[in-house]
Amino acid sequence: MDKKGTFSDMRLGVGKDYIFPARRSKMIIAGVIVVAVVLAAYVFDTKVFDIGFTSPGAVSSNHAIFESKCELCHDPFASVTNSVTNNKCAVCHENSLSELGIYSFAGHYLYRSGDPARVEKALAEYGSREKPCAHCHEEHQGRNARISVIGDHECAACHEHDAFVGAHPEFEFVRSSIPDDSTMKFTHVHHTKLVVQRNEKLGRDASLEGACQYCHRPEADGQHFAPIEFDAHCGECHLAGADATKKFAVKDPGDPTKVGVETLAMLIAARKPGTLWALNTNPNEFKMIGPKISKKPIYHEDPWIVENLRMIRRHLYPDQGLSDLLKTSVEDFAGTGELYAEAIRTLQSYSEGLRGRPEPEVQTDLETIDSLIVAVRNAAAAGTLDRAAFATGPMAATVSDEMKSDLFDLADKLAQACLVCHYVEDGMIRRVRADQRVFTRGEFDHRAHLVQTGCLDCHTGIPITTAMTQQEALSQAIDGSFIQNVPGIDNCTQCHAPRKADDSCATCHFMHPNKSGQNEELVRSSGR
Amino acid sequence: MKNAMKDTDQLKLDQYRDRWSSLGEMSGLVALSEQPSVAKLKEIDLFDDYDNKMLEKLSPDISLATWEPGTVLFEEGAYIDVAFYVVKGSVDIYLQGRRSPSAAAAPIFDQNRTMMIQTADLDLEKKPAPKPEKKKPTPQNTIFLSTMDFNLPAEDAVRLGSGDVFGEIGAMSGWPQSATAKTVTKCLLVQIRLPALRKMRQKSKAFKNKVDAIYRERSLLPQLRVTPLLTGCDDAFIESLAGKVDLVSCDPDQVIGAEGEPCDGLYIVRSGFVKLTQKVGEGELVVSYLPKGGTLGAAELLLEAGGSWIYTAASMENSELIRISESDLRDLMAKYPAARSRLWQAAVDLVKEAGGSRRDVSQSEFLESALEKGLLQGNSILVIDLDVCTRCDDCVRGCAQTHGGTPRFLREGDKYKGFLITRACNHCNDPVCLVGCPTGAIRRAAVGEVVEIVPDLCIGCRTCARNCPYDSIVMNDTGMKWPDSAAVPEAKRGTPQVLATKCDLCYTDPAGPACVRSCPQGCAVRVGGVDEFRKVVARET
Amino acid sequence: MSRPGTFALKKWVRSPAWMVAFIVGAGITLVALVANAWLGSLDPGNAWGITYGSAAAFFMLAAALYGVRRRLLAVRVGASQKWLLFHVYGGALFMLLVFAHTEFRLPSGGLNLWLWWLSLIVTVSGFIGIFLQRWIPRTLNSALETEVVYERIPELVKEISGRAEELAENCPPAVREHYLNQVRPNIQRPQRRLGYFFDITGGVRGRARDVAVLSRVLSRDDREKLDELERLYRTKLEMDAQYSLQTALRTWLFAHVPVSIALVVVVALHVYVVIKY
Repeated sequence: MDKKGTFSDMRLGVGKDYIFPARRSKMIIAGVIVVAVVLAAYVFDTKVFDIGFTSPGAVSSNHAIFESKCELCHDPFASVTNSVTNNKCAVCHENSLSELGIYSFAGHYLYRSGDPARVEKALAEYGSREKPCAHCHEEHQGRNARISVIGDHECAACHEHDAFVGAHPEFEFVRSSIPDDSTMKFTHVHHTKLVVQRNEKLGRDASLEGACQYCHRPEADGQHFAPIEFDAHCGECHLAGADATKKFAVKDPGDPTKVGVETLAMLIAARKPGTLWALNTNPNEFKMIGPKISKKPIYHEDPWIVENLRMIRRHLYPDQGLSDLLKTSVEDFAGTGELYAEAIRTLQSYSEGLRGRPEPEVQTDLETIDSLIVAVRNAAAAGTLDRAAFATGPMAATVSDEMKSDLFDLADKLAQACLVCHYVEDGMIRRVRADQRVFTRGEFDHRAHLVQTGCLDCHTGIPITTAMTQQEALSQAIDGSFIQNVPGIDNCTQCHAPRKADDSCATCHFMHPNKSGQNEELVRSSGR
Repeated sequence: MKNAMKDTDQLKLDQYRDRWSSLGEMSGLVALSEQPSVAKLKEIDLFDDYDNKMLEKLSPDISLATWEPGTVLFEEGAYIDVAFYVVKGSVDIYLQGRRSPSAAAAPIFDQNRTMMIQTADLDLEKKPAPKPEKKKPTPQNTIFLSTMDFNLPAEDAVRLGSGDVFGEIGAMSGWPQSATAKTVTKCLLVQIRLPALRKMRQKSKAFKNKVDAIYRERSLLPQLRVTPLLTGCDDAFIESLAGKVDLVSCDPDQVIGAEGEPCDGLYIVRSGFVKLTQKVGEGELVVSYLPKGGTLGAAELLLEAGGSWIYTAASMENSELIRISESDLRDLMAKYPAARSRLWQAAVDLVKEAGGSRRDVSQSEFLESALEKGLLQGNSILVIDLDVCTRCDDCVRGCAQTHGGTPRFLREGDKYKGFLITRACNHCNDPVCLVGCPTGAIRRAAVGEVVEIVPDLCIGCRTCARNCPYDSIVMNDTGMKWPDSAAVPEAKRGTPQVLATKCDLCYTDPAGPACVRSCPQGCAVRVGGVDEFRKVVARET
Repeated sequence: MSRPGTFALKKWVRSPAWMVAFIVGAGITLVALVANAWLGSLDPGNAWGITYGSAAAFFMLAAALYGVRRRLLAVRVGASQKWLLFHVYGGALFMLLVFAHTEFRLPSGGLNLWLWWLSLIVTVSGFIGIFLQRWIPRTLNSALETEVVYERIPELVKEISGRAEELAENCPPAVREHYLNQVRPNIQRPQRRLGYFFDITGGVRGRARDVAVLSRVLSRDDREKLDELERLYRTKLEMDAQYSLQTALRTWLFAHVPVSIALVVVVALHVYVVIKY
């Protein structure tokens, strides 16, 4: 009944181990041992395997050799939110720090726009949104992570458009209605037909696609097409080299009132910058027929014709100094810098033609040309570039009205061969604005698309489709010229949509300049 | 040698003073005697009955004190182990609650309040403001006031004079004083501590009779007046009854009435517990118990004249009873039918309970366990639920850390139905451990029912440890040695100092007992009383 | 009281109030997780992730303080039971927050992986501990008469074995034979046995039956001696049962505490590394 719990009635002593058990100290020692094991793992990992023990994940393979050297990227205690400061990235990724550097935030504003003023404005307004490199390019995502691939949410932090389908605005060139005007007498429809026929005749690819790609030839990277050039694309049919000019009266140096062209000898004797090409010209191309001169063959951009047109222009427009250096007319839209770019290009083409010539006079004149190039650049940087600058020689005396009409007449005749395709105004051949890059802020890779679809499936401006047979295509009623043939965004969203082809921002847009280096050019050309 | 003797005497005196040390800083004390010599004691008529040898033994626990007028000696609710005998002067006894409070000055005996107050009110550094509260320390349903020493009319005080004794019942029973004592004039008092008091009662029938007579005069009448049995009886009858009743004192385990033997009267329990057993089969079953106010013998006397005891009644520890003779009882029942029906009711209740215990042996077992393990006597028993206890011993550790590194109990004890009744002090109603302490080191702590040992006074005699029926007192080696001085008996000098320690309920800590606080599982509870224990066992709480 | 054998939630859940508080806390965490996934991305390094991590660290530290509390029982900082409840529920919440912090994935990186495993071990060992602390006391209480303090067992067993030896000396040969063969090998030292976990009585009754045969052929006095011997033996076996189960109550801490100490250190290291880099 009465359960006496303990066995013994005697009070036996219970030792201190009852109150202060030894196992308590043992547990603490065991704890210390476990800590020691963890620290040993730390040391082992760092020294033997060269892995960052405290790293929260493997770094991408690009940075793998630095994995255990945390402080190459991390600036200890730099900031609460981010210790990978931009200057750490800049050690290898040059130009990430300098203003307008490739990877700089300011560079992002300059990108594509090419307008430094835009940079200042944007920095003032959006500079607070600036994030360090490490914010978007997160490391420690594993060896195979591609940290250059950034998610849309990062772009959407600043840019409003957070989706491609439905939220992306129409392309700018569609919105701003750049005039469908290539400044040439050219129609796609007509030429497509002709190229098809020709290809068929010559046993080449006689499909429509083959016709497109006859002129629009992909560059090595496949992304863009090589610029359309006369010699490569048009020359096969146009100006095969057999044509000759009309017979022109020759200019009399002694009689300024007489209207006429300059002969080769005259040009060589003149040696003005811009005429030194004449030294390379073959005199046998010129024929004196009585007192008149004719040239055969005529080349595209034939220098003799161009130089004579320039000569005529000097008579007609004595104050157009800079245009003295131009091959064609240029509408200098404000701030696009095309005027001086064209002048530079002209001068550069002259100097290229003369390099290698042994004559010392040529070397002196090359120096002159080079100094002209520099002067133009400086003037552009200083903002003093205008049409009136850079007269290359004494201007002709003012001409009489009668002479003027004769000069116009002469110019028309000189440009006759050109008029087949070109427009000539004021004695200048109008510059051709073909084949322009329409995307200023995005990138488009043709090769990736051409393997899946045909040219005409997207470029639907030409009323011929790949579905038609050749017969049908060629019998299409055609009217009007149609140059501008670039589709709007609706065309893209057919494939680039959720659950279809990639519709992330990074598919077309880049934070930092792309390989085409267009930004570099803009940076250089801005003079900074 | 002479010096040594002088030193010994000196230190004995110091020890003597220590016992009365709590009086040292009080105002109001005019003089406190040094240890009174036998001759001095003989001058006082109280000690007439004792021989010199006895007086020698008594003298360390007796002091003669002279008090200023207007000194409050003790207040209601104080626990004191001192009885007072007025030699000269007069003392007022009154109930503070009914008196104007301006009369209450700081009491002398027991600085601290004796109620179960929040210890925040308890400023152990200095005397706190007095806050009187009446404590009714009873188990069951009686409304006795434990020691109503005085026949106090509602508004007035009782004035005691030369030859009067007061405070002895409180001292002996350990219950709180129920009235306040204040000196009216300059008084010379003999102050007798409990060890001496008990010896005096034992040795001198005259003293015992004197004390009993005092009780009869002062306490019995009001107690009888509030006895449920006698409610409604007129004063005259009760007064006459008061003169005729016997006062019975029982030693531990003394049998009051044996089953089968003739019943000699109606007993009312005045203090202590009485165990009732019956023969069942070959053995003896505990069927019930009687606390204070319980009646014994009702059934026997009602059923037939000269009836015999139905139960064997034995006193658990020391108890005091009142016996009313059979004829007086018949008188009572004849005059007051209400009393008769009440008596019947009590008898029937007892028979029911006893019957229940006989039918359900586990109830009997529970009662017996409760009686034996001190559940009835104890006010705060540490019970551990073994179904929950993870044996982590944090309770012991908590006790140890609160008490300087040695615990006051071990997690051992009797098991009852999956509960461990540990041998941490039960803080009994009638602590046996108090008896015989030569220095007064063990005493009530004056906060509730807590019994504590004051280490400075303890000499390690083990009397309390041997007395405690529950083995709750632990002799602890303090790590020091008894100094090599003349006051210490030669045999003891240089030996390890082993002092008695026991649970003190952590009464100075407002957060409560450390054992309960430290238990991570919450399975250690301090249980006061049988009903609480029943609830805990049934897991009702 | 519930009938034996039924599953009573009350037996396993000490405090319904705390359980409710935990469920509320877990609910808040899960709601935050859903909001996190909806509004942003799950990433330990972003503001959400750091919140989970900080909350986890807070709960871990607060829970770890319980270990300190157990050393300072005299200090008045609240009942130990409340501390333990906070430790258990705070620890469970801590693990949930760790999962939230790591996006419910195994983390990459040496330190982080260690941290995760240490957290898991601590939490799982803690749950095992809870189970042991519920199950063992009930088992001990259910069928054993003996209740004994763990540290006393060796000396008590020594005493029992001494008494048994003495008793056996004075016994008739049959009893002595029985003692030497059956009892003596098992009575000399406290023995821990895995079997007590499955049967707390340890097959004592079976052993007692073996003795029944013997008692039939003995005189009354000798029978008493045999009974006493068996009583000693039974008590000793019950002590073995106590010894075995109470050992488990003490040893599981070795899986929990050292690892938790390491956890605190490694968490501190982790916080330092996060702040530094």
